[in-house]
Amino acid sequence: MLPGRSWFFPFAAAAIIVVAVTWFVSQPVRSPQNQAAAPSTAEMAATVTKLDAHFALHWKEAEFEPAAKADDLVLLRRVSLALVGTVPSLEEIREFTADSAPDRLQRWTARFIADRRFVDYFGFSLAGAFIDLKNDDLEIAPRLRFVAWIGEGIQRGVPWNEMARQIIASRGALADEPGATMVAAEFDAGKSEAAERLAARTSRALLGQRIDCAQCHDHPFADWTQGQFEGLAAYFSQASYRNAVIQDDQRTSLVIDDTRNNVKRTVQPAVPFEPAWVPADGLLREQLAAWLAHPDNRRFRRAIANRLWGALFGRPLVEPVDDLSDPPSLEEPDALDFLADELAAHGHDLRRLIHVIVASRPFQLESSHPGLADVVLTPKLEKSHAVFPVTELDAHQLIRSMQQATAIGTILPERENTYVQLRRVESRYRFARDYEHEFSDGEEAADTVPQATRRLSGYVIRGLSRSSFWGATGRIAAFSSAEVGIDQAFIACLSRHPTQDEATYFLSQSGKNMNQRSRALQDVYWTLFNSAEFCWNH
Amino acid sequence: MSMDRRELLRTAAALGMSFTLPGLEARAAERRGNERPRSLLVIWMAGGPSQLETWDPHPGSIIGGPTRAIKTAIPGVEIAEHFPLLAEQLHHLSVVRSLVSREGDHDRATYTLKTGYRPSATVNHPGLGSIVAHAQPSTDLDLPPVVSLGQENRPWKGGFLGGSLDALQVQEPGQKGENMQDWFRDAHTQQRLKGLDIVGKNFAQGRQVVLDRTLHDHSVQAALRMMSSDQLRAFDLGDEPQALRDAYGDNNFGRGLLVGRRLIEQGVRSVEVTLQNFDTHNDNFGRHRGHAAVLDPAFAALLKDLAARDLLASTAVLCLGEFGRTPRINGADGRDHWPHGFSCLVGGAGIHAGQLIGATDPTGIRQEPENPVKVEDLYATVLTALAIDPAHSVQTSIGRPIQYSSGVPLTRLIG
Repeated sequence: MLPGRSWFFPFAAAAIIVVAVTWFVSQPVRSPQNQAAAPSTAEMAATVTKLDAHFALHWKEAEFEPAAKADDLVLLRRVSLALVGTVPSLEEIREFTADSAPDRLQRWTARFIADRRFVDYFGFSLAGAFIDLKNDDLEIAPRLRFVAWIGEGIQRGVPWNEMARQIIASRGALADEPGATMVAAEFDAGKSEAAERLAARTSRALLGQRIDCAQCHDHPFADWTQGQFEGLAAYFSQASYRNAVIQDDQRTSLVIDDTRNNVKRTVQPAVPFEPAWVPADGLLREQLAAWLAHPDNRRFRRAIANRLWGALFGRPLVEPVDDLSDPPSLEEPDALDFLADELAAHGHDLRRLIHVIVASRPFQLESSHPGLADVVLTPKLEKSHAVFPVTELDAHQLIRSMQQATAIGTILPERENTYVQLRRVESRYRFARDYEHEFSDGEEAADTVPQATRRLSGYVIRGLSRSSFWGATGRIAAFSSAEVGIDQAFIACLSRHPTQDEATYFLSQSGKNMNQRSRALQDVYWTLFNSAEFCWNH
Repeated sequence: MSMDRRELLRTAAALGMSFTLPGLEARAAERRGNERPRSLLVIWMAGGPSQLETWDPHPGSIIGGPTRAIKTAIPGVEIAEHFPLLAEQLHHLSVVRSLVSREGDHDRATYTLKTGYRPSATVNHPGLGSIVAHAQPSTDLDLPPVVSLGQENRPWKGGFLGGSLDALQVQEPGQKGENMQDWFRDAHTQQRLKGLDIVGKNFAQGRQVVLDRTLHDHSVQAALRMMSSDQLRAFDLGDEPQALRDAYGDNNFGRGLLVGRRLIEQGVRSVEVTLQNFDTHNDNFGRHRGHAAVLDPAFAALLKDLAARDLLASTAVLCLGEFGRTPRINGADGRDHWPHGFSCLVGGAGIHAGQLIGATDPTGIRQEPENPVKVEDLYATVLTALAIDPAHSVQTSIGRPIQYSSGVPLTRLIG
């Protein structure tokens, strides 16, 4: 030890430790990327032409012109919102605009599907059909695991019939079989009537039929009977969930406690149609899974195709998404049949359908049309998909978009450390809880006064649009002229440049010095966040 | 269940005001007594309050725990000792001790007690407050007709009656917070609103009908109307005498009840005021004593206040939670969920006062209470008192008409 230098080694050791810990903590969470190549343009063109033909026919018969083709940036925004739950970032828009290849939309669709954000957001939107995502009583970890399982499965191209089989029939520890979360969740909510609730979820989520409407009385429109519902429920009668393990006991059967007639009756498993599709043996849940995914079961594939359409358009092709009308005759297949057949022909890979839908003409239409000034013509235009629908963004899309619009770079989980990610997720969750109002399928979504009040005065919006040096508003104001700043704000929030009127107005509100520019830019962000153009998908 | 599960949400807008306003007395005179349109006020005890520590004590019995009972203004009816002030005002209300439901899960039970229906995958039922506002729309009201005060995860929703009947939530009522009217009148705000108008007009080109349907502009206008309205003063307690504010209690719940009374005077149809943390799986007795210290003075002050202002005849008052708690005391000195005979207090709007309905077994052996009362029947009673026909059906989007309530009014309480 050298005298006078005794501080050196402890200091060096402490410095090394501090540096090491800081480095470690700031490491971004890595996740494997899984690039799926976009399908080739030529191959897609042939498929899409056939799909478009279904719609072109309706337009010709109705004698109106469909809306004009939408700008590519509008399409990028739609795809981004649908697949990763946010408006495209400034960074992404710059890159997209600089990309001059004609198939850029397809490539970017593939890129969004391969994005880590897809797993969380798209997984979340599909998972809601199977488990109740808002129920506090279900533990949050299994919920998130299930969301990730669905998202990753779709991302990797796991066949949908295989995923459905796992959702219905997986056995074992839930930690090992996240697909089984739907079954586990219903048993967790209460053993009594778990089988019936599972039959309801299965028929709605996987068949697109509300057979459970027949639980208490025969279905109002369709032909489902109470007996058919009970027979379906009986397929879940062997299952149990204890100590986080799902098992099947072949000795149990379904006993219905009929309080109306004051009897208890045992019900045999029976599918609501086409019993020939049920395999001869195996556990009941496996038999049900096989019946659902039978190659001839059109309803199964139509249901998922319809949900995918709904995810991309904001509104499914056929409504409501969990109670489709009967499929048309095989001689006269409709657009949904076409999509269903596409799915079957390509290994039930949902990514394929996403590409086909994005490339279709209905997807690429504008959401504006001269006919939308006319109350009589409007529903006709909408029904025939001659104009892209204006639909409500969900609370998650809204908060993610606001977070993205006020950031400089694209918010990617790979780029951020755990702490920042957790803060973002927490703030999203709180916003969604405060903001969302529920509505059943088939009810018109509309803005409400509490929601509008929150937006107009809400601390989230104020916080996000407040300009600090670290957020986009601050830095844009600091380094750009007022015109550039306003332009950037419009691109970040609305994926477009301002019109002449808009630019003139906002410029007139801005000032010479940086503080005034900064304040004016906050105003622009506040305005855009409160606009219908931002809050609704179009 | 851990307490963090009942996560406390922070409000987006604490509403407050700083104007001197004409006294409430002049306007108030127009709206008293029986001619007033009727309102609903619900005190929601979130988590499942123990009936044995509130309105159905069994002192000295094997299930009673340390809780003693006190006499009340209703002869023959005793409640838990922690509610001396409320006991003096109890003659305004009736006590039901035999509520039954089939839901012991918080989420499902809360749904059931908020709507009067068990949860169904098919339908989103409207909350009781939303039903009242639907059946008796308010005219000339800038405020939303349904308001939820306090921290509550599941305020009333409009359900199939529409999102316009969702409750406006104010997490911290009566707090001096942001000045909503000043904000609105500020030139800067007006400027921002002009920008919003320009952007909106541009977007509306070629989309008019679908945009109208979104009610986006409508909601923005309605929100702005509310934020600039004088009626907002109902949210501020500045002109209430200090003595009255002290009587209600200087806490979120006490302030909430006082704001609730003011909202009802203003014409708001339904108000819900929430008191959290009744889910006492552990330390049941200590925690209920703590809650009583807040609930007792506030509820008593409210009843006296409503009576003094001649508002009781037109306001139905209901106090309950999603279920009760087990007669059996568990190892953590707590009680668990119990939907088989739990209590509520109900009165006002012509509902017979001073009634005692139902009884639970003091030995705790028998699960079913005497004279069980179904939740839907209680709600049919409340609706009837508010001059609303519970059997009135509304067409829903699934094609099935659904009644406001599937229950039958209790003859001992109404008619």
